[in-house]
Amino acid sequence: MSDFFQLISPEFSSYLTGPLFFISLAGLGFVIGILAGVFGVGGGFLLVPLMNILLGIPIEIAAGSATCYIIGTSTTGVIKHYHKGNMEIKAALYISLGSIFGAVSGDILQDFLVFLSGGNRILFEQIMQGVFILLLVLIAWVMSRKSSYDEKSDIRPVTFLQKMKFGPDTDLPLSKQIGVNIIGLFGIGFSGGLLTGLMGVSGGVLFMPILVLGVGLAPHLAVGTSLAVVLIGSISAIIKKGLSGGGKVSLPIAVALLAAGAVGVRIGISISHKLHGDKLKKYFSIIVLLAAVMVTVKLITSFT
Amino acid sequence: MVKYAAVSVLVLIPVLWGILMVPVLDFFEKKIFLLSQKRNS
Repeated sequence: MSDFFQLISPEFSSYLTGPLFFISLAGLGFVIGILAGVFGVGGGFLLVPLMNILLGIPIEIAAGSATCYIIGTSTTGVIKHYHKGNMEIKAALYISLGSIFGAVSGDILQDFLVFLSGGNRILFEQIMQGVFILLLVLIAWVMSRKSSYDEKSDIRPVTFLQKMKFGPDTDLPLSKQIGVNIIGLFGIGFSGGLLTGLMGVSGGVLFMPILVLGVGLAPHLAVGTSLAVVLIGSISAIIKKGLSGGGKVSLPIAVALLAAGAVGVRIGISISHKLHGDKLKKYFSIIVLLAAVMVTVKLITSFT
Repeated sequence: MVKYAAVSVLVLIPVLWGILMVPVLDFFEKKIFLLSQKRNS
């Protein structure tokens, strides 16, 4: 029994203790929940460093607990976005499936590349973080540009996935797209998952731009669909962490974060619904830049 | 066995919490909406 409690509530030290510690976590959960609701991201890229810097929670426990928290907030968000008609379920499922395979392949590829580069894992991770920063800046720039189509129009430009002729296809009714290639959707998820596995980041921030730019979804649909991909990815990450013993998850921290997190998500979804698609994209590019800053700080501190 | 039990708890508790919060927040959202309507009228 003690082994079980050690697995769901590992011991750690932090700057704060008692009610103040849990109230601070609830506050953080609330703020990150708003971001999850508005932009369809998990928010781990902000939550993990904030828990570590502000509360002194060890990175390993912060990362595991944040993943557990993301499962809860994205569950609330997914249900609400679904009711508001902001989710392409088929696209979410195929992309999630691809991203799980991609993340596992990314892990394996990372080990192989580290082996090829002479076993210097730290240098490899630094190079990967550098590439990730460039990718985030590129995404922020593309997302800040105005859409070439009218979101409310029935006429949609034909996407790359609709032009693919091989393999089965499916329709995405909410985004009015017919004949979208399933292998293409799987491939897009696989590429996103591969990047996250290769770069050792959670990568929820990648899926909203992937859905807008790669699949051609309208920003509002991309937010809901991205949150569904994040939910499935987080569940698979917790299962992987738990079974491989590769990470520590603290359920009390996750529950404290979740206490106000769901309220934040709901507020976020209401805000997202009121924003015009182009504005949503523009604000999202700021979030992506923030993620780039966080990774840059992590990269700089790894040199010292 | 302990590992599987721990993973199940770590997945199920946030999922159930997330599902439970939907009707709870719907209830409060409705209450706030009704209150604001009452105040406006």
